[in-house]
Amino acid sequence: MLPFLLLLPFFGAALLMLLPRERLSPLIPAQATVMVTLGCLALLGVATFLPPSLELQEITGERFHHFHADWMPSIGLTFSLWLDGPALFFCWMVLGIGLLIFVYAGFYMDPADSPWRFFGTMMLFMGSMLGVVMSRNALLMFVFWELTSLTSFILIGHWHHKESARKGAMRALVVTGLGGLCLMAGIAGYFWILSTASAPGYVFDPSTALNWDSLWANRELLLNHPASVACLMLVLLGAFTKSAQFPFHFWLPGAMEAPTPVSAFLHAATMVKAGIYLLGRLYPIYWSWELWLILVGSAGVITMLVGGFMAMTSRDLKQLLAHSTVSQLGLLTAYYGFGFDRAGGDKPLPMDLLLVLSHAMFKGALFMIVGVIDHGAHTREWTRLGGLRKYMPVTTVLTIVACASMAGFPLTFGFVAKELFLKTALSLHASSPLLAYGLPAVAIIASLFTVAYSLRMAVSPFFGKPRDPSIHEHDIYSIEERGDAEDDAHDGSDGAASHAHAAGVHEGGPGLLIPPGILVLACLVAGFWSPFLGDLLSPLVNAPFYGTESGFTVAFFHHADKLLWTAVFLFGVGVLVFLAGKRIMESYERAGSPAIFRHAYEAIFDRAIPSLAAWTARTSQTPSLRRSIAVFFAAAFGIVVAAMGYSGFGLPGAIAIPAGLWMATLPIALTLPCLWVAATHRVLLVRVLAMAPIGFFVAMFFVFFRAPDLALTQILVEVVILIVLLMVLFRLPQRFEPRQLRFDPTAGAIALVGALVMAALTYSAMGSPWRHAPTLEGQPSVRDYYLGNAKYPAMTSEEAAAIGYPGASNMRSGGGTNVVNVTLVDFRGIDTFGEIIVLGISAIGVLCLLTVNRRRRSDNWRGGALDDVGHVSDIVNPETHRQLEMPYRAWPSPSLLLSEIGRLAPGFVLIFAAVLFFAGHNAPGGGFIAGLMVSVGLAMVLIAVSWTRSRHLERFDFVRLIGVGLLVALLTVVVPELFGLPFLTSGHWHFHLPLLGGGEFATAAIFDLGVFLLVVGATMLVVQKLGKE
Amino acid sequence: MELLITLFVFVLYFGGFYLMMRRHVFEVLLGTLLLTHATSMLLIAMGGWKPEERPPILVPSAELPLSAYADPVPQALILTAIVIGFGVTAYLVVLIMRGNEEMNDMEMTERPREEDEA
Amino acid sequence: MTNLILTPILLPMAGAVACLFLRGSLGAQRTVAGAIATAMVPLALYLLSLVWRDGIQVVRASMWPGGYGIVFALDLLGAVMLCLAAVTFAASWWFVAAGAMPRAQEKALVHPLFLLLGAGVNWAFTTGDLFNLFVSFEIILLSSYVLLAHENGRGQTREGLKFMLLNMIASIFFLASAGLAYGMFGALNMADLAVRIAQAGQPAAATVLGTMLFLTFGAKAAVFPLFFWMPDAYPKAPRGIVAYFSGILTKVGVYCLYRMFPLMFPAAETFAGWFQPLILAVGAGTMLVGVLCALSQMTMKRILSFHIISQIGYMIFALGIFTKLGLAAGIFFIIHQIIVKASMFLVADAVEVNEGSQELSKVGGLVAVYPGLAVIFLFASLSLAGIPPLSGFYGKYALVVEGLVRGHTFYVVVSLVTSILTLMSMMKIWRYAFWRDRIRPANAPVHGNRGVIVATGALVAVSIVVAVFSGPIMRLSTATAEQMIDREQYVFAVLGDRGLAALRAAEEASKP
Repeated sequence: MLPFLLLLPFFGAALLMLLPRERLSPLIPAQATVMVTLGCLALLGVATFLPPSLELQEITGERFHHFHADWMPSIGLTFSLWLDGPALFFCWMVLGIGLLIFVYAGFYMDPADSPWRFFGTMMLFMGSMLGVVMSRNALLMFVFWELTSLTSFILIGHWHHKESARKGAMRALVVTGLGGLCLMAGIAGYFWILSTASAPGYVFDPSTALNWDSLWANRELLLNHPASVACLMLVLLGAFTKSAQFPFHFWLPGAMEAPTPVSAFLHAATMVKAGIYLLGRLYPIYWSWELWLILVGSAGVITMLVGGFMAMTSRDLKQLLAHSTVSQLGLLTAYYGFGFDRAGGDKPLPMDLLLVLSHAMFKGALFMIVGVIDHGAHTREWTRLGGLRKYMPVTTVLTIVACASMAGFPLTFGFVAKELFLKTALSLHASSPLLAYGLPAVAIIASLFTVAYSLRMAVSPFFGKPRDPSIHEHDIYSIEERGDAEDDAHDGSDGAASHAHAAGVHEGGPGLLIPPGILVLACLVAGFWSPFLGDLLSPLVNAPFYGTESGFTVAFFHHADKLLWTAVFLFGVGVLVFLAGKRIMESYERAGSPAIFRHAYEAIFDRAIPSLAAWTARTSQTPSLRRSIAVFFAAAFGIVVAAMGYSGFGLPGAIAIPAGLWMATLPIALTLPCLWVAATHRVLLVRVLAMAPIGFFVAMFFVFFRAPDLALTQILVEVVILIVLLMVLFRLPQRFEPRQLRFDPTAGAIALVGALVMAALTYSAMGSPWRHAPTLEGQPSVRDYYLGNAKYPAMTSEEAAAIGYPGASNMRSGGGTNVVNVTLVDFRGIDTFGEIIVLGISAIGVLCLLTVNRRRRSDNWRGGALDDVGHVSDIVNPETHRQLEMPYRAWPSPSLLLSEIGRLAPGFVLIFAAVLFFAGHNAPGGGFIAGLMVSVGLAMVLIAVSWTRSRHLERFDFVRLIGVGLLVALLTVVVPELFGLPFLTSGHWHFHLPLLGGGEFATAAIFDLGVFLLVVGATMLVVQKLGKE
Repeated sequence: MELLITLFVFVLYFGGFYLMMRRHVFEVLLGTLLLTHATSMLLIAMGGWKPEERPPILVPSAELPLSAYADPVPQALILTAIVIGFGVTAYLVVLIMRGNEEMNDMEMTERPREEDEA
Repeated sequence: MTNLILTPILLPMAGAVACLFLRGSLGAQRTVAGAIATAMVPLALYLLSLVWRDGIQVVRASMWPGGYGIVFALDLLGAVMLCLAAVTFAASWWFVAAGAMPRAQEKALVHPLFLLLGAGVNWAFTTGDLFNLFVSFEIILLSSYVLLAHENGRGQTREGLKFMLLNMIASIFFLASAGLAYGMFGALNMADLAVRIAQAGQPAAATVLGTMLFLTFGAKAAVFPLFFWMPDAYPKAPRGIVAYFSGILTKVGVYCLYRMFPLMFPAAETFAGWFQPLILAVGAGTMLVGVLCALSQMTMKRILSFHIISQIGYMIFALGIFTKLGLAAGIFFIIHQIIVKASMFLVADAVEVNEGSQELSKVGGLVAVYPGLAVIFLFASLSLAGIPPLSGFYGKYALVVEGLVRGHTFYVVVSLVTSILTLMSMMKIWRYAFWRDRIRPANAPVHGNRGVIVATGALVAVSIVVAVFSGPIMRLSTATAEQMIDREQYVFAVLGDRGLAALRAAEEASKP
């Protein structure tokens, strides 16, 4: 049943979101909300008056309804609800007052003012508030806690066209969100303490650890842990921010930008009580700590004082109520502070359900009444109002009674509550007199303010002459109202008044008066029949002690003891303060209201953090490519060096250089001047030409290391890259500017460190004994395995079975003597597969760069100097090159000889390539090298022979060739699947040709063919596209 | 040989790193070329070096011990690396060309058009 | 089917080849790519269930035994990442197909490139070989360079260049480290490498190698000192596809870190002494710097890009804790992050597609015009800020708890500060773009495009599903973390019982 009760409002909200708003009447949301609330009330009634069945009690040993479902037990988050005393009470309060306020809102809100969003969010809030009070698991409560913050954020910003509303909403969200984080940290702290704690007979159960009752049961562990103070403070921060306690009180008045029903419901009756509720849950754990008194008690009374004073000195009635709420919340907080009993006391305090209830009643009523006044008189500033009793008699009566209850006047419910509070305050005994007498004294002074602003609220608007006659020329007034409600941030009235038809000062309709009327009536009734109420509540108020009876009974004022007289006396003094009130206010305003904490907040969140952020962004995020690369290098090398230092990374002893190797120093010696030129010369072309030899020296080293394939590949790649560079070079500025030639010491230093690191790594790795050691037990090293299996199948059938492919042994073979090539197409064929894909992508990328969004360029060799390249100027489809065809520009005219060579070249090239390709598997060569060879040849043709004579090459669609190459490779990869073998498994067959004699054919060769095609396609595509330029 | 290759690796990496940190984008490009060379030198060194090794092309007739051949693994890796480096470089070159066309700036220090900072 | 776990790689590749042949007609390309993008999701989910049921799946390419040939091994971590990649890919593909970019541009080989990118990513999540991982990284990076610079607008090429050069440096580091791994320990297969590192007992070499790899993958993951390539580049990426970039690409780096440390460098003398402090410090720096930079930005996508960085910090932090619950929290966080971050970028793109700009100074009052989009944004941004009960909360909370339990209080505090700042910057977007009075940029397109909003909503719905099933998903993450911590499973799956025996022997020997 509990889940239904909890989820009903959420379903309602979802419904409101999903219904087709266009076709339905705007009244539906209000009605739906009221319906849902009634449904919840019905469920709650059932839950209240049907106690859980006996057998359930026997199973669980608990006296109330509860529900449990695992969510993330490992981190202590379980979906466990209950309806113990406080939960029951708060549910009734939330739903009851919610019902009245929804009815009221139905009449208050303008149907044109996006009612769907408004009521949907309201219902969402109601649901999350129910969740807060119903959840037995502290972490679950936190989940709903945050939801209430969010919904309140959205509701405060309901009129988001007002800057003040946006500001207020942000402030509320940030403050409560910050508190929420602290609360979360505190709860996490509890979990941590409980999970690491050890005590005789204590077993840690993560799924129940965070339940309120088990927290209480293990309070000894919580109290005696070194981190317990930190946890308490974090959790209290959560409670204080939520309940707008000093010094976080400033967000609540800002929240009054919300429509009046929201203020009445969230920021007076329910949400701000969540912090109080939390204190009520914590109190039984901490009540014997003096720290508790110091933190909670002082926060409470200071809030009382500040709030009361602010309330007394505010002109806007709604602001007055907001500040009074702050001060009343302070009272509720202080109540728990005063509950401290160092002696460990005989019986702790009960929960302050009476105070909460009475405050919710009169404050909810008063907010609604302010809304009525706003509607009726189009302003909320009592300094302009006056003599309203003639126009709105009912409102007057309601206000007076509600204020009497707020002031704690005898015969009202407020008095009962106040009596309870005073009793607690006066019976406080702390270690130091400062606490014992100071705190209650402050509280009593604050209660004088309470009386004062209650009178202000009750008297000023209704009696005497109207202080500002203009409000009777309502039409003009309401027009300018309509005008400035849009933008004017500090306009007292909230835009609802602007929607109100300007009918002059008038009484509110029954829909606006009955809900507050009911609450006011309740204040009186509860005051009269308080003993009965006490009997009703006492089982609930005893409940939070989970078994131990506090034996609290509500004994009331039929016996006139000193408390009654105290109350009356205070009331008298309060009247005096009220009389002085206006003067105090004006002098205070002349002094200029400080609002220190709001300014502090703005200083931190609106100035300090943004500027810090901007600073971080400026320093950490440089637009300059050069600097980012430098920082990148510096950081990386620094970390590596640190790692070497930490791990004592050392180099193996020097290795003797065998004689006859000195020729290997030649390439190194020759590299240095090339590097020098490549790094310093001021002509681009020269630098490129200086780079080329270095590639050849690298190839020489490949030769020293017995890698003929590599040497061949390296040279070919060098040639192709050189061709590409030369083709591009003509489109770049040809010379370096002097300042680009300056030597950069920082860069030099970083590069030096980096190069040293890499060299050291190389050297030590070469000395590592592990490289060619047998791998696992008795298995050959990788190198030996490749060498051993390249030509002949080495895999016996049981080996095949061992790796999960029984009976496949005879399929397995490298089938070639060129181990490198076999590795490329077989052992590590997948690498090659990936590598050709990279090649294909790069070619396609070049195509995109040269075609997409490219404007026809003006003929200047330096390129560039384009006027802004628009977003999508003229995109050219890759397959129709005509559109982008540049007017042919003669290359530096090809000499006859060159062109002759060019025409003859292809033939030779193709033949040589064919040889290389087929040699590949057994001798240096292979698909890649052959492909490069062909490309070089064709590129020569493109360059040497003028375009007019190689149209076919220019037209040829190399993208398709890339596709074909990829397809062939892909097929050879995939086909083995048909035989149930892993991808790229190659077989090989001996065959006999009549003339050529015997030979061998490995399917790997097909894969190599794919490589060949793709390489040609990719390279030629690049050359072709660049050649067009 | 170990010392020589280490020296060569050092030289190449130094040049590469230094050029990468230069203003002119084309120098950065040359830097990447050098770094590719340097890394393939590093890789080839990983195979170790012995005076009596032969290229890893098996000679079926002569029954040589496996230790007589050079380590084929780094060579295969380098081949793959070279090809990938080639692809990336080709794209990079054209990218630089286009970049120069568009903002006529070989230093790439200009901020993007829209003002991003608050 | 023998090679089932390789289908997520080869299917998109086949699609890409098909698109190359079909590049005449955009319709045909869309059909092929769409079919594949959609089919990947159930496929990935099936693979996950397969791994969940039967343990780690292995394919030995060209049938060479593990340690010699290239082995593809799919464990829970990889399978989870595959699922996320598939979902993100589908969402951002549908966003593109809904007409996010001009037809002619989309026709210019965007689909094959995007498919190849997806193939490369799945490849990285599946392979078990270090050098092969390098190859897949190159596929990912080159295709993402090309896609990034594809529109060729002003700035694209410039940022593309920065993106490309810094990533090339990282690749060079990667190549060097792979070579060093072979040179020092004679193995490239990751499981084999793990065994040999354990056998060799050379903490110094292992530490340096691990650091090199950490830098490589850290750079790919855009961690604090190495993230310069990312935040300027991503906002320039093509609309829709940027969601895949932001969701997945950086997470590939994170995945590699998660794969590497528990498998190869769990040894106490190397980890607790050097790697843990390094990782934690880097994580904290990444969180804070990222979120602070985000706060000062004035365009949605830049704000979001910096948030990628700060959220990466959380994942690194989780890795640094290096306990079962810590890693589980990290994995849950990754799951949540990938989906939510991608959907946030889709929101920004949807705004850009419909309004013509995503700069906070130029758009406003969207809540009135696109209430649906507003709700979507609210859900996504709040769950990004880790507000319960949305998906962001659980990973964060688990992280906080585990951090406290393991005594990393300082880093816990940093993460909490980060999350309040995250909330602030998210609400900044909300205040400017959604709540403010209506502003419409001059160059706003005439008629909006609702299709993209639908695609966005779908992805956000997924993130809500994650929140609803957070319990089971946390169980999944915990199981994944267990499998990562217990590396014997992986070694056995790849190398068989010989490898397992070798590993056990080595670990016995290393014990004093």
